[in-house]
Amino acid sequence: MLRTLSKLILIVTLISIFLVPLCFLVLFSVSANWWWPELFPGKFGLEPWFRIFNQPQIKAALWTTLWIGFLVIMLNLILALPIAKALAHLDFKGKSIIDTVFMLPILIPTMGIAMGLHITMIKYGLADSWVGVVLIHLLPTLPYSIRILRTAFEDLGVKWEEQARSLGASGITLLRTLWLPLILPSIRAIIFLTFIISMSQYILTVIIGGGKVVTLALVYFPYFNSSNPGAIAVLSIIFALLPLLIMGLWELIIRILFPVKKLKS
Amino acid sequence: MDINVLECHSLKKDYTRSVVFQDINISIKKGEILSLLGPSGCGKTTLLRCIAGLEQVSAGRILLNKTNVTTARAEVRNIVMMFQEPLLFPHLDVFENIVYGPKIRGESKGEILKKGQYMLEIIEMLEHSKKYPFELSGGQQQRVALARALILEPELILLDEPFSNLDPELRDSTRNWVRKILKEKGTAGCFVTHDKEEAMLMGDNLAILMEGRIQQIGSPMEVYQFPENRLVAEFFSEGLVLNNEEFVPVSKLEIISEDESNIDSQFEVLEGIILEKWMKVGQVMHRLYVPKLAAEIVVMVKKDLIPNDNVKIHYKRKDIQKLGGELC
Repeated sequence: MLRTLSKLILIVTLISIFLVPLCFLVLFSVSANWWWPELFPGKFGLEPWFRIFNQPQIKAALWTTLWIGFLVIMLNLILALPIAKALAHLDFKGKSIIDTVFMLPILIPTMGIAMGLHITMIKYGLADSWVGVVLIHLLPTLPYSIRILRTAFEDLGVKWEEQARSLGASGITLLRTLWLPLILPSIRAIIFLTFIISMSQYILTVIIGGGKVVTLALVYFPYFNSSNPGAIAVLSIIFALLPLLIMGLWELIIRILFPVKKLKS
Repeated sequence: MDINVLECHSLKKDYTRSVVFQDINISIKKGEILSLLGPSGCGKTTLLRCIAGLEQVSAGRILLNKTNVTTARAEVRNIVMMFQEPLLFPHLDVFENIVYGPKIRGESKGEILKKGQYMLEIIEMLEHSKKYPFELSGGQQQRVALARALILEPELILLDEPFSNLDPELRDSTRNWVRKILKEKGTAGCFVTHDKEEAMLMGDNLAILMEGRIQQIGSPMEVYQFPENRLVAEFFSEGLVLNNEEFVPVSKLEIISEDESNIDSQFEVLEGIILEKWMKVGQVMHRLYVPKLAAEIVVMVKKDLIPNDNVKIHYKRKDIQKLGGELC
């Protein structure tokens, strides 16, 4: 009885929190005009979608978001892999200090660091450029990536590596044949998380990009001030679908790289 | 002429505060299996890891087929180590696990296929080649691990208690099987264990590592019958250690109940208490405590004695053996 009740509460909550708003979003995006107090839209149509995709600014922002997101993911992986490996499996002086330094960006408000970095970036000509934006997006993402990978490396331990080394593997071979397949689930998590964090950055992108680097978030948020619910709905859906698109691409790449590999997870 | 595949000269390993082992001198000939026996925590695994190249020794030299490999990395030494766990790579199936080594060496596809197939035949697991490690039993996993090691035709294979996770029956059969395969292939092996019987069964030679040093090295029978010092006698040879120099093998002891007496003057007598008894291979075994020597010993007694009985232990003076070899 209690179990049925709690199940019911769960289902109702899930529906009211996720499904209902999502339905509204979709409805808004395909309704030409829907004003209060009408219960249903007076007219359906894809005008909001056309309106959004007809704006070159939005299309450009979409590509910028994807491009920056891709680079941030790549940099995260390239940097987090060796750092996390070292933190997990090596003992060296100052390990705890380095560990703390890599965690600082999520302990201290990012704004503070970003302001300081802005000045440095102006000095090196990185402000107002996508390179600068990519670099600043590392602040809210890299600490998480390092933490995720470090836990994965710690869980796996060094025994597999020792066995593989004893069988003759080293360096890149070790990474390709052993570590990458074993930490694949963590890499998937990093890609997803990093992309979502990167595409959601507003303030950091505005400060460092100086308004010249326009990502989807920069276009999306000001729309909330507009009186166009259809456009907001379309942008919201694009916003929600982008990470799924990235995930799909990743799964596709994995299937191509490791065909019919059954992973024990 | 027998060639030494492995030679260790004066190996030493220490950390800032403690010495793990020192003065280690061992050699293994082609096709020979050396059992390295010692109590838990005596440093035998560390020694094996140093030979494998997974750790560096603090002093001494390791020669592999006369080549100095003391500072060489594990991946370039032609030595394969098998650990306590089979450590099969979970993302690869049985066949891919077996051919892992040849594949990263960049051997041709045809060669890899041929070798892999041959190894599958040897370990009698042809029908399991597409299975993943988690679908195999413990014994099967160890067999795959052995195939994965042997396919590289290493000069030396190091076995770090690879059977300790198997249940007793499987352990016996897997051990016999591993020994048979190593002998067939003529691969030299160093087998680490803390199990005395296993060490005797597996090794052509046996080295006892205790308190950071090799206490004795020789054929299992030799070491068992003629322990060189008190440590070896107490740990490996069954019998009574009378003092630092003298030892009586268990086969020379006679146990009689308290009321019987033997007044023959050539007998020495010690008092004992029965602690427990059980059956083994059709015989009644008794564990005795000898208060004077503060020692425990397992003996076979025909008479039926019960725990807490006081007994007398008789032995002839001429049966006292000098630790280090000769009889007294």
